Amino acid sequence: MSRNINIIKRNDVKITGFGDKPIIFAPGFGCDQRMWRYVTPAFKKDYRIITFDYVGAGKTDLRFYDSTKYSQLSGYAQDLIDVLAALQLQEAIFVGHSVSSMIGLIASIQDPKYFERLIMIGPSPCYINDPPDYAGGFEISALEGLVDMMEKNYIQWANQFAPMIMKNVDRPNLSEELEESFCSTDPNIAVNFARATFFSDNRKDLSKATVPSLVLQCTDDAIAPTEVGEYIHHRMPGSEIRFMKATGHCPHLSHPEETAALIKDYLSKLQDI
Amino acid sequence: MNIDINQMPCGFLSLSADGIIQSINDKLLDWIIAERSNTEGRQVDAILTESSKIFYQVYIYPMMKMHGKVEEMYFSLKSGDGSEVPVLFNGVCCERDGVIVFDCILIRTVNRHKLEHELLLSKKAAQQAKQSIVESAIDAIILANQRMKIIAWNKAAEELFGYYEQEAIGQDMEIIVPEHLIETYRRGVERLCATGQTMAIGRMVELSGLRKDGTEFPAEISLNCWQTNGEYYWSAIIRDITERKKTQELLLNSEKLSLAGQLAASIAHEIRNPLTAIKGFHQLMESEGNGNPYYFEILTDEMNRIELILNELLLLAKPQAKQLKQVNLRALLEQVCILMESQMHLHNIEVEVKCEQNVPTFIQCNENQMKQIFINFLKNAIEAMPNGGQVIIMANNIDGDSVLLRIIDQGEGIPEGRLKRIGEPFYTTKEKGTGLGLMVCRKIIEDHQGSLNITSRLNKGTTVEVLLPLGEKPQNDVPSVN
Repeated sequence: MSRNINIIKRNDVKITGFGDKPIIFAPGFGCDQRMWRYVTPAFKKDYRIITFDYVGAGKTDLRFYDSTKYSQLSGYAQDLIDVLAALQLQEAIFVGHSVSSMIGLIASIQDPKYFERLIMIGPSPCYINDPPDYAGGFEISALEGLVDMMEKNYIQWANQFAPMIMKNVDRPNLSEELEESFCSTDPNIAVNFARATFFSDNRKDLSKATVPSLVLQCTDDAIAPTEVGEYIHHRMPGSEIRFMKATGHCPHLSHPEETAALIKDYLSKLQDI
Repeated sequence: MNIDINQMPCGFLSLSADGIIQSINDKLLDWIIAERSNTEGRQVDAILTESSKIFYQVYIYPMMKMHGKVEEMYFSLKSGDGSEVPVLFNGVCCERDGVIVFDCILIRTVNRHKLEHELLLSKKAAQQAKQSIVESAIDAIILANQRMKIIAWNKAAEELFGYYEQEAIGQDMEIIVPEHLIETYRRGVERLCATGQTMAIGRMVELSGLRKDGTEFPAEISLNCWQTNGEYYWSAIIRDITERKKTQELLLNSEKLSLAGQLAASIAHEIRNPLTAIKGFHQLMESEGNGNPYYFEILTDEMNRIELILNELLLLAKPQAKQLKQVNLRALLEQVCILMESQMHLHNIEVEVKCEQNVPTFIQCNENQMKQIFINFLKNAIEAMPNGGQVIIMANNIDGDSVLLRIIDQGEGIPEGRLKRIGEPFYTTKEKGTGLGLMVCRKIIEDHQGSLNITSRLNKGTTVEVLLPLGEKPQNDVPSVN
């Protein structure tokens, strides 16, 4: 049991909601579980809501950060399985944003008993163009540029957050302040996650899916273009696709109502069957 | 308060919560070479580079939305001419007229690519300059890695050793080491690999080099060592000193000739006397038709004496192959004294060699050169004592490794000011001096790893001290000088 408690602390797992059916929200690259705060209230009444962070993000325990483990998406998938196992949950609804969609898919292939449905928001199995058959949206040079930009912002990160952490040593409200500074992931960790995310190629995993899924595809998503969403839908058995009015890559932030409504709609149809 | 965004001294951008560009100021349009009509009302993606599109979507947008602000993010915009405009991005999420907007201020930063490009260019130029210095150097410059494999070989090395660069690269440094030095070289490399130290590091040493055609030449070598990424590397700068050696040789020889010339007068005198005796007795024997054994004895003695003196003279004048051999310094000194005796007598000078029997005086030396320096010192002593006197030659061991010779005269002495300049080429206090004698002496002594020291007191005399390393004790007894 102590291992379970450790994992709950390690991944900063939070459980809310009044229902029985478990729904787990997995954040994408860049931010932490608080990204879901506009969407989760819609599920409060009927579901048991689980939010968590991958080790390295948010308020997780950095002592467990292993740069080798977390240089592959499988390392993050292990975090997800660890959380579900620690909570002894089975057949959960999984909602993943961006790269977490792929992490959810990898975890569901590895251990399907934990998953009932996968909901993928802005997923992409491969961000790199692979002509002539695949257009992921980016050339490798652009992704290298991204990594460079993140490394460049290390100074910004250090200037902004390091003093805050320093001065909070003797202050009890440290956690509150740090809570405010989510998205403040150490750039070294962020860069490792960025590499694992943007240089991965999970196209071959799509056909291995054993869990029904929904792809939520935004309009004008620069990260995961419509063609990529369609590519996934075509190759993933048991998948549905819904095109959102929401623009950009973070509909749960920019259009939480539409996002929640589409998820609920998909889940309600399920219950009808 | 209404602010005209076009008056701002920075780039300004206002985005809707959906990332649509609401307004953009002239300065920013100017930076990214874009028209207002092509930007306002469009997604912010339109002015972002591929990399910054992702960064905006996964990082900046969520931060502004969740945290309410973004401060000093390094970011890049896409310019109309295809280039990248690096900026520092500051954004704040606020409500205006009941609508959420992101107001963003952008500060242009240094164009990193341009800077890096310039840096690369100057690095390249420095590299090329270094390359051209190495290539145009008169001295051979050779670089080797830790395993003593040649990794660089300049033009001068090609000319000096006869190997082309492509032949030499990858070879062991041993290809330029003459056979007889190879053992010494290997020991040196071993020591160097073990301790990272060698005698030759950071100073010039005289060795010889081996050309591709098998010929050897005298070389001056300076070695250096440095470390890169945990590996040692070596550089050797090698200069051919054949010409310099020749000059030195010439200098030595001219000095010898001048010495021989000066000795000639007294030797001629010395030879004439025994010759007179020989002639006389010879005539006597002729006239009497018989031989007195006593005459023959004298004849033999005098003949031997002529022979000895002539041999010495010949040895000095004749260029010799430089061979080091084990020599008993005491015997050598006695020989020199015999050679100089007649001159000494002419000047009413007595010479005494004070050396205890048990003092080891074996040294490794070039016999002729050794003789040359002592003749020089004795001649100087003679010249310093026009009214006669005594010269004492002492030999002692100051430690187990060396022998100290002192040549003490009772002459006029050397004034302090002149003492300092002694040994400089062409500096002489003598009317007929060449100013080379002492310089040559010093060079010979230093060649034998010894040292020379001269002290003097006016009207009391001069002491010449020569310190020489002792050679190994010979197995057999005293190899004689002649």
